[in-house]
Amino acid sequence: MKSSCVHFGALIWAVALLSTSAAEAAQAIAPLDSNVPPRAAATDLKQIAAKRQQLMAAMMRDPSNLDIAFEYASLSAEAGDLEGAISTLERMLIFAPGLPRLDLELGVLYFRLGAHDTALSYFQAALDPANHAPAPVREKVEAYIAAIGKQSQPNQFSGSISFGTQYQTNANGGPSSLFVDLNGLPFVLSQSAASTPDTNAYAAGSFVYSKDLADQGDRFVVGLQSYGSLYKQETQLNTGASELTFGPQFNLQRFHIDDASLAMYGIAGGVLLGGYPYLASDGFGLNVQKGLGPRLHLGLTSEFRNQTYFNSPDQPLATDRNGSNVRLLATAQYHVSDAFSVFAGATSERRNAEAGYLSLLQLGASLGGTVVFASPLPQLADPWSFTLWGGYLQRNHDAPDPIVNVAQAEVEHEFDIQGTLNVPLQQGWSMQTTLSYRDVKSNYDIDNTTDTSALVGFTKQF
Amino acid sequence: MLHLRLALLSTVFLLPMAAAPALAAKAGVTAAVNQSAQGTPPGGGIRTIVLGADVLQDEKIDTTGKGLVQILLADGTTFTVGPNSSLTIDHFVYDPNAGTAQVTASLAKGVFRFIGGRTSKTPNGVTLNTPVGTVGIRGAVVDINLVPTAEGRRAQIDLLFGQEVTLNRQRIYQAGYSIIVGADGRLRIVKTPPGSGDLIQLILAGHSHQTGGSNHIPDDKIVASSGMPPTNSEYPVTDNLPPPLLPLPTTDFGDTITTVTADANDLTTNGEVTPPPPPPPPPPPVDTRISGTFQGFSAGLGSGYVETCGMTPFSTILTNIDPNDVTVDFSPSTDSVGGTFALTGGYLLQDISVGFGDGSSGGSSSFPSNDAFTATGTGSAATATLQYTTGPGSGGNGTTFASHGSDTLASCTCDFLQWGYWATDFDAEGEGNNGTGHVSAVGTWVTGDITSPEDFAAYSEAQANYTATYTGNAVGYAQEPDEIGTHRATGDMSMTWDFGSRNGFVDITNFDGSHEFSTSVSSSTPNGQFSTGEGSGSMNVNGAFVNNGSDKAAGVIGNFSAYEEGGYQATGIIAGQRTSLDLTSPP
Repeated sequence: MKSSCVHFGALIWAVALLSTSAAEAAQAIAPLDSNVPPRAAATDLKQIAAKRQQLMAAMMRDPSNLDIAFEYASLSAEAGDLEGAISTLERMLIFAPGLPRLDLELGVLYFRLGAHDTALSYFQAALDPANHAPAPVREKVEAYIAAIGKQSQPNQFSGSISFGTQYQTNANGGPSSLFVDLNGLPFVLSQSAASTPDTNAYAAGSFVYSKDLADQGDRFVVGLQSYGSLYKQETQLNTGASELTFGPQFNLQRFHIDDASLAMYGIAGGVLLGGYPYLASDGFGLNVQKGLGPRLHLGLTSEFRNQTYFNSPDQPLATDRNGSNVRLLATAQYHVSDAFSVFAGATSERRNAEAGYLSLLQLGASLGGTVVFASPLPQLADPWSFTLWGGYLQRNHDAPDPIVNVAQAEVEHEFDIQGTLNVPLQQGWSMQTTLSYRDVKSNYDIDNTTDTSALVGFTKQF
Repeated sequence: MLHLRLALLSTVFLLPMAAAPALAAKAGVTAAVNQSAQGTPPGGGIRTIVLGADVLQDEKIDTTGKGLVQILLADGTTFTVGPNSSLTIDHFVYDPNAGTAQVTASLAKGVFRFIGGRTSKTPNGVTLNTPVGTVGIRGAVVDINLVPTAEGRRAQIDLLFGQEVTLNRQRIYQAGYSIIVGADGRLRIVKTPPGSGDLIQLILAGHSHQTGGSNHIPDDKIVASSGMPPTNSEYPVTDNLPPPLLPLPTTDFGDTITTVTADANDLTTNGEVTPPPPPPPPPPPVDTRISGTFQGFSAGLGSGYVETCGMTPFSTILTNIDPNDVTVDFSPSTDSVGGTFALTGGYLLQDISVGFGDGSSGGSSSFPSNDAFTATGTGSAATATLQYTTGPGSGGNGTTFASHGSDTLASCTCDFLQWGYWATDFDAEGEGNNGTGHVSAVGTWVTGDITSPEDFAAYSEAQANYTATYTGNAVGYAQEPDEIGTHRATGDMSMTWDFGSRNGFVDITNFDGSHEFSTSVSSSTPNGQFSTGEGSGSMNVNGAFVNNGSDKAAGVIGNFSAYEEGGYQATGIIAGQRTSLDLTSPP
């Protein structure tokens, strides 16, 4: 117990340290005038800032010097100050009206700011036949125009579908040993209870429909998350799950809170397990998002769910889990640079079930990072990314499970680590390869489990 | 020659400006100029604005119908001034060390684009005075169109990107919205009208045959070879999407699936091997605790292993047929309970016998009330027959025997019965070469005042033309095919008995949710006991009639065991009370 507290404390400390460091770093190296996370390495930003100051002074002396202007614009774009790059290139466009490559660069800069109408004006100017845009410029412009067409609709539908296969060394979550202790009595579990490796095929979908409301930046958002898996042997684990969220999302800038939103939503969901209805849930949630500059984003989610379980031949006592669930989740994401970001989260969850031993309080924290790097394969030009993530959860059950230990309630410590390589393919498709390890340690022998899994999947974003 | 003339011309026009406003502070420079544009410095005469000229504070800049000027301030702020426009930089201060800047400008007429440097990142850093009111800008790119339209619009202010723009008391805080000033001076906030952005873009982009006053004209090659594309347009479209400032809440399916998996493999159950002891009741004025020795039935699920040349696990149902094999003695005078169970199993574990309570069992007991009593017995008070040979038990945790505690029989008050739970765990030693083993079992028990053969015969004779219905419950343990361990389960029980033919039916419904079992039962002799006839149903039942005081055969008790195709098995006790006595046939 003591060691678990140390683990938990260390992780909370790490999250707090990360947040503090991130805020300090944001002040130290993020220029006030950056609009988006910089593309330059964090170590180069100070040097770039000094150089830009020199170039600005030189531009004031000689505004028509193209070398100075383009260097200033490109360094501004690298530093994330897209406004600086725009004002410089708009000057170049006054020098050379109708130059398609300038229209392209300006269009992309406005696109990156989310100013789609202005970006579209530049892209359309680039395609003006009178300006004779080179083919590569036309191709890029057309791709951006297509993207804008989707992004600027008042009613937007987007999402992703994915499918793949996963191998697990302990698909059924079986205990590490068949010799367990039940109320001080040694008990030999049947062989069917042993941890069993298995392979599943899965499919998942994430769909979002968004409609602009009358007020500035307000939206009504409907989200559908779904997941299904079929196991080769452990068919009782075949799972189908869906959850629908729906509700308004308000722009908090109306209260002079920059880069912030509040979403209020209803929740309805269901789970099928082993071909039988297993869980139906309904509830509501609140989600607050806040950007502290272009690099640090914080999120706070609170959700309440009523949960109704259904008994089945495989799950004769599922209704003991009937109850409610309240979850609080805090997240932070910091873009160190365009190629490296870190994230952290802390969660607290209260489950109330009819059976006291199934009621619990769960606390946890996670920490991870994503590195984006150039594709090693010339055939796949888009950059790859690797995400490494680790987490810890502690579950304190309310009451003892009388058949396992009448005197002591269960306390579980779960450790997870996961690495995912994401390889973009073509036309919105990407491939994911994930390795993960899960270790649960409990004072109840029957819940001591480990599982190593490998997953290969494909995702299409639209 | 042409250059020389231009240079001379510029010198001529600049001289008065340079002389007159010698004390005026510099605000910025003209970074691009399409002619014609004129400046009127404070206290000075009109001058033609050229590229690279200083722009002074309080200097009024006017453009003609073809004029276009970009003014660059030292902090990076730019004003692009369209044709037929008029702008004055009233005040500009910049502190590079603090990173703050402030600008106040007057926009009298025309079309403008404002791109903020440090000014717009400084609180209250930008104040633009216009004929329709004062505009404030924070962290934004803004178009301002002060050209009245035929439709009656006096002005339009568009937020292209950024935090906010205010005009008088109206405020835009979402890119893509505009403030429109009507002919009556009223302000409206609307989504930026389609096409208005294109129009301003056209106005501010310059025109062919104009070069912004520069002799250095960028071309396609210069742009392509500059450092700009690699940091901007050469990235894939998806990497250039703006960061999701307002992301959606997401479902954590990982947790759901993990929970589902854990649920699917949960060992237990709501079984209660040992119900938690309730608090002791206050001493009653009269001791109502039951007293005496009672017989009955028990059933349980046993598991363990036999070790000979290897470890062979087993799992079996344990029951008794003769009520004398389950005996419990209640002794209020000594506050004790005790007894013995002798139960029959299957192939590897053929039978067990356990003892509990004070005395020879080596255990102890407590008997505070009829609903709360417990007893224990040591492993050495047990025996087991493993693979045909009987050996003594030893070690282990021994036997725990307990009342039903706060659990009740939903369909039977049955105060004349006693029932509860038990568990045992001990090592057993087979004789000869049969090695050793380990036995663990959990189960339920029920006892009562068994109707004697004589009383039952008399009662049966008296009720020979009647059929009785007994209603109660079944309580026991069940095991799913893939379940680890067992789980407690309950159901409804109904039994009919024809006293004339000594035949009846037992039905268990809603057991463990939705399981149903039934069997016919009969009694070969009128001794008050009954059991399943061969091949007559989906379960086996052994039972006996019990008295409720002087009311003979007022209840039934027994045990049952059932198997289903697919591997589901269940066993437990049944208990019921007589609820009706109906005429079977005319006397």
